[in-house]
Amino acid sequence: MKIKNNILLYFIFCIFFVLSFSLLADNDSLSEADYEKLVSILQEINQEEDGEFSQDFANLFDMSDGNLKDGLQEKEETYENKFDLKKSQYVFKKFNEYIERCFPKVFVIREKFFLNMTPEQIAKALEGVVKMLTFKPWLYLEHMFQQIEKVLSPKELEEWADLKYNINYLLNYAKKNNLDFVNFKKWLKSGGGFWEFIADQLSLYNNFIERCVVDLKDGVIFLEKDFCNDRFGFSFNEKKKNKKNEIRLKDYWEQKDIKSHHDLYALCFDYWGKLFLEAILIQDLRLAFRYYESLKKIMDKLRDTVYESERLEDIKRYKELLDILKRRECSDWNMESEDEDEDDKLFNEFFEFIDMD
Amino acid sequence: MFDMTFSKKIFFCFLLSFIFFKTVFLNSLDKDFIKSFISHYEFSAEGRYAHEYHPFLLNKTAVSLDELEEKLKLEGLNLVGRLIICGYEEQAVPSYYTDYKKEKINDEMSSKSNIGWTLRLHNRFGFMTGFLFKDFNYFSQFWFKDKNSIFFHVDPYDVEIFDDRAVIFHEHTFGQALNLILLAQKAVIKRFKNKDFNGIFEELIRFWNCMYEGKIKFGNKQNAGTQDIIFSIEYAKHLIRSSLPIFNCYIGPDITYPIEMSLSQGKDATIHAQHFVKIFSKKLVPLNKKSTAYIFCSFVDGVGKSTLLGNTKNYQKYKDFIVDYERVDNSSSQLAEIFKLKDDVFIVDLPAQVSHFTYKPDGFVYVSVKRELCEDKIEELRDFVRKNKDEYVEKYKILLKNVKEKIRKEGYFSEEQSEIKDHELCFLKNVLLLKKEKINTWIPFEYDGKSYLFNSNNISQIRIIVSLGKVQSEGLKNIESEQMLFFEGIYFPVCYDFFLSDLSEKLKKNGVENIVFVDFISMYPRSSRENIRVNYLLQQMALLDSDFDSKYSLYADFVSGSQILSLMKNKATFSCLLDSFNMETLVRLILFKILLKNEQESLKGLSLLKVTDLIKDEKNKILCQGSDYLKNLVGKKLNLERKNLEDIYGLSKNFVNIQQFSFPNAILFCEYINDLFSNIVENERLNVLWEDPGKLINIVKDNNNRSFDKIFSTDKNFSLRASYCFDIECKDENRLSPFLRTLRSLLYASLSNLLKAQFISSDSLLIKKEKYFVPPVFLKSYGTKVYLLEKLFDEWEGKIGKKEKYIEQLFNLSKTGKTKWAEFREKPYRLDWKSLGTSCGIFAYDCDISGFRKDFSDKSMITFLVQKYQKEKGEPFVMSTKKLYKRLEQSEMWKYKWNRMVKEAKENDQFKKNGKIKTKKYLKKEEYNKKDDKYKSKKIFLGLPEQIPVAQLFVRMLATLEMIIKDPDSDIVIRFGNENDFKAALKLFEKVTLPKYYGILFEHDLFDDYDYVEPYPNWDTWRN
Repeated sequence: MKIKNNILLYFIFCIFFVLSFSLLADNDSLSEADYEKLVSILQEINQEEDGEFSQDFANLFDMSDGNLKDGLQEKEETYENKFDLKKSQYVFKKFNEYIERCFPKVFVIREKFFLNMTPEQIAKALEGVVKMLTFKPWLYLEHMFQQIEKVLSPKELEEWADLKYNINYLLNYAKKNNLDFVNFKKWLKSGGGFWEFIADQLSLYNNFIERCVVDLKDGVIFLEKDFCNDRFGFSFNEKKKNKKNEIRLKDYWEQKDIKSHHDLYALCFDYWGKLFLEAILIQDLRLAFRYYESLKKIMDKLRDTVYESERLEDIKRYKELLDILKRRECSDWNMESEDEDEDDKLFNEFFEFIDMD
Repeated sequence: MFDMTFSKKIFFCFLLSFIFFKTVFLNSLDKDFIKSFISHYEFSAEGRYAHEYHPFLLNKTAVSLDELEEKLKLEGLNLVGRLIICGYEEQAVPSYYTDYKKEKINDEMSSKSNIGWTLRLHNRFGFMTGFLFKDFNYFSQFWFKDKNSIFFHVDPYDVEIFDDRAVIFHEHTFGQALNLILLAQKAVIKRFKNKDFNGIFEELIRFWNCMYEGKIKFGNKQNAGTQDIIFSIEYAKHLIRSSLPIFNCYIGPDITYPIEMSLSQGKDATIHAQHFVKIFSKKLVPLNKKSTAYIFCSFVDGVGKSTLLGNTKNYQKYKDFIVDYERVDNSSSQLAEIFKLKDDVFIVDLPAQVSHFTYKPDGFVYVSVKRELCEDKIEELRDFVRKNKDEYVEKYKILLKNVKEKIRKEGYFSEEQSEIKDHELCFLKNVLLLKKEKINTWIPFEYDGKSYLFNSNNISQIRIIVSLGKVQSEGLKNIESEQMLFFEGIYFPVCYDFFLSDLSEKLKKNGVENIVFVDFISMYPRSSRENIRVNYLLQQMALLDSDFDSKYSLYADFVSGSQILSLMKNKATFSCLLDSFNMETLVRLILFKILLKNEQESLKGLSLLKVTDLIKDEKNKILCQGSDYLKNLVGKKLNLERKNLEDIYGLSKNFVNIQQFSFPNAILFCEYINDLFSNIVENERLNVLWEDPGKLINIVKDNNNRSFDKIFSTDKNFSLRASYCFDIECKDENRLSPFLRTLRSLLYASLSNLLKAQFISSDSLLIKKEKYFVPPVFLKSYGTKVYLLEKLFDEWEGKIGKKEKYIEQLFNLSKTGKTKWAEFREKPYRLDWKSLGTSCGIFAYDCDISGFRKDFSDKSMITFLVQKYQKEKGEPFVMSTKKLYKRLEQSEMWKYKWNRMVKEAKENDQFKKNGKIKTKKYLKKEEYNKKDDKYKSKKIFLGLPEQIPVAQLFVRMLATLEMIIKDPDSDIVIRFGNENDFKAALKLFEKVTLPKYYGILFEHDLFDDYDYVEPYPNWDTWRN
């Protein structure tokens, strides 16, 4: 199953890559030399992404060492100390053009845009990315959008566009047209398991936010080298180093009352929730449990946000669903009778024991 | 006295008995009311808004609609038929698939406390009723091809849970109610097919009765049918009794919700109401070319009568331009209101029938500015608050002090106080009245002549004052009682005959000839109108009794049923609940009596002061007559409910593992551990590590109940890092879980070093060398806060060996991310003790109910027994160690396994005499299988006689730890203070944990008599 998924995702990536490459190639109107340079860098980075998608998608939200490329830390040196406001304004302007033309891809955005912006600009840019991922997630996968286009009439396409490409429209469409709901969902997903794909992208944005540090002295943004991802966990730290002039991007935003990243976490919850529920529906307890663990981590990030109370209720319900699945896993067995001898008891107990698995 | 004549004696006896009877017995009305109110009172959190709906008031209400029909007939009006509207709350079962951007109705309030977020109260039976009708549109196509099918379900396909294939979601959502629903659904569809429409209502009555009488639970253990369901039952009976034909019955999710747009409610949130108003408006036509009045009536408030009237008016005026829709008026009048919709069509909006028999407080409330103002204005306000926050917080403190002083001198009822119409002062008065001085975070301020509040913890939250008649539903549902200001006083209904005459007069005056009843049998949460009553009652009770504290009443902000049980199991809080319940019954009774006495024809309300005086007078009279009857009933009811709650929640994980967790006990236990390693154990490294750092000093106040990262100093000049901070009363499972798991894994690992000890004397142990390098942990309190603290170390620069990594597997520690190691005297100490769970493996007598750690160990007997137990119970209840050990002893498989273990241990012989564990040479071979890196069972050896006292101490310590600090997900528990559980746990540690995880087996019992074994240090410590 896992291998099949990976092959499928690799295949999707290839299509996606070709499409995004062709989109980039069509950008004749981008005349400024700097931006062309940037585009060529984007192409380079696109090629680097290949290996990223073959990871185990059940562990998407784990920011384990495997998820972080050493290359990133090398690149960070390139950008450190080169930060200036003029450049950041230029990059920010170009960023908006970029997401209008190409679907946002985290490595590109992180490396080529975010690290050259001010914290406020990053927040604003992140808002745009989240908005894009929320309302038009399938634009990520162009071929899938084309498939949908083939099914819907022009009028329906218009309606769908009016609804900001809401997936519920498609699901309702399936119901109303008596398309098999399950198959329709499968069909939607067969476009490339785009849920997993977007979930992966989201986890990388999250990773960026966690690692990002602001140097208050000169406003430089950089990625923390010695990153320990479990910030919500309990850890005995070594003696505090003197880091008075540095602040985590998240803390900086908190101080400035910036909340763009809350929407990102809420979106993460939506996607991991979808993956979890799919695992429940196919009754894969182990997979469901792993997604549930990821959801708990996301929940930690949603603390003290406007989403907290509702998501707590959701995660409680997810836990209850897991419990139901656990109970279902235990198949029925016969209760032992009172008058059986010890050998019978041992025999029956043994079969119950086996059955419980 | 002894010289009295016989006749005088007789007279005296008669007089005494008269006084006796007068004092003992209340009159029958009082008794009926009290009995009805108490016996139907729901103690669950979800019953909060249904208490007014008991049979005594139902009986009064039940016949009132029949009387109305009769009256209109007598007046010569032509009763033509009826339309029925049966809405239900879609969010009663929210979608499982979350969508943070989706616009939805979200007006049920929830607040955050130390225990978590309070429950949002939903109407489940309404939703379940909607479920019964989910396929009606589908069947109509076949059974009513060209005819009016009467029943029409609005937007059923939008409700996710109505999908037949979502089987596992059905099972989870409906729980034990699922079978009942499926049966009722079949029966209802059958009646529909046979066009037996009255039969459908009969089935509904049966369904609702089963739910209410059978106390059927929803999937989340909450009551599916709250007591207001009896009003639905009675309404259905009224519909069956009536001879009027049913024109149409509309069912649908939130079909009568107010259509309007605001910042917190987008257009799509009310999509069903928008669909319905179009359908409904078409129905409003003059019948037989005669002037027709559509009378909107219902038994209870909050079913959407005024709202549908408002929506219809708006639709007529603005059609699909939702942006222009005006605010719906929800100031329900005591009299009928007639509105001319178009030529020969009138809508008559009646007050709910029950409101003829109950009171109605009125005034103002603070509501989120997002409901009332535009974005620019809100931003302007936020800027203002940002700039002036500190000034207003200071001003608030001074004002509160002044108000407090005034109240102290003059009381709440001084002329000046009672006449306060200033929003700000009244709010402050309420804060003090309701004892919320310490927890209130809302600061009043004025801007452009209007009164506002901002949340000092989150200044983007701002509320504005609005009248209750004009406010959107979120305002009506504001659960912060102090934010509701009852300036308009309390309204008591006019007498019913007067109401009827007024109605018929209005109809005649407008030339109405035909009457169509529009019956609202919708089932929404009772939270809007009832919340106002509850807020008023809380203020009223606080005015009557200065000791009253809503925190210890049945209107506290409950997070779960297990929290209520926890309050009821505590003697002090039980007594508070008893008093508050007693008082509530009295106040409700007296208000009803005032209502009867004041049957009036005037619509003027009585001031809070006046009502309080009346209640005081009546209360004194009732108490003079004797309140034994009331007290008896209240006492019995509370005991009965405690038992019921015990059955439902007594063995739930939340109750046993979280609600019964006590920070003071945990702190004390940690202090004993500190003392053990710093004073009792002889090992210099350990002594230095665990040296008491002293008391915390100079702590700056911070948000609590979370993980954080702060450095604090102590009076002994230590610098400590606090990684968690909690309020001492915190019972929030979500926040406590990571903390408890970390603490448990650290303590388990620390205590495991005891197995390397040599017993020197009763108060001294020698540990030559630590086996597990565990950093010390300190749990300390400072005021009402508790901190988890650690000492600071230098970072370990060297490599980490496999042996050190072994603890990661044994103690189930998180494996993600880069682990930090500290250096202490040339040894690496793992710093990250974030646990993946301490409810399995070594922490749970080898139980692993989730089965997720199969790579670590195979399924154990204990897992099997717990699984079997939970299967029997049908719930993931906790199993006491006593029960578990009993079953283990009876298990033939266990006997077989035990014999095998003993045999193996004998074959492997004893530990080496020098104390070095013989397993050392096996570690490399056995613990890490190079091929698949899977841990295999530890080799088992017979314990040495000199190891017995150490093992005894070890199992005592672990059993004490298990009794005091449990994992929130523990399946096996030692109930606090339960000696039998404690004894059984000792045996489980000895027979299961020691051999399985430490490789030590004692062929004979560790203790001569387990009855005399006490927790560490003794029972008295924990019982006191």
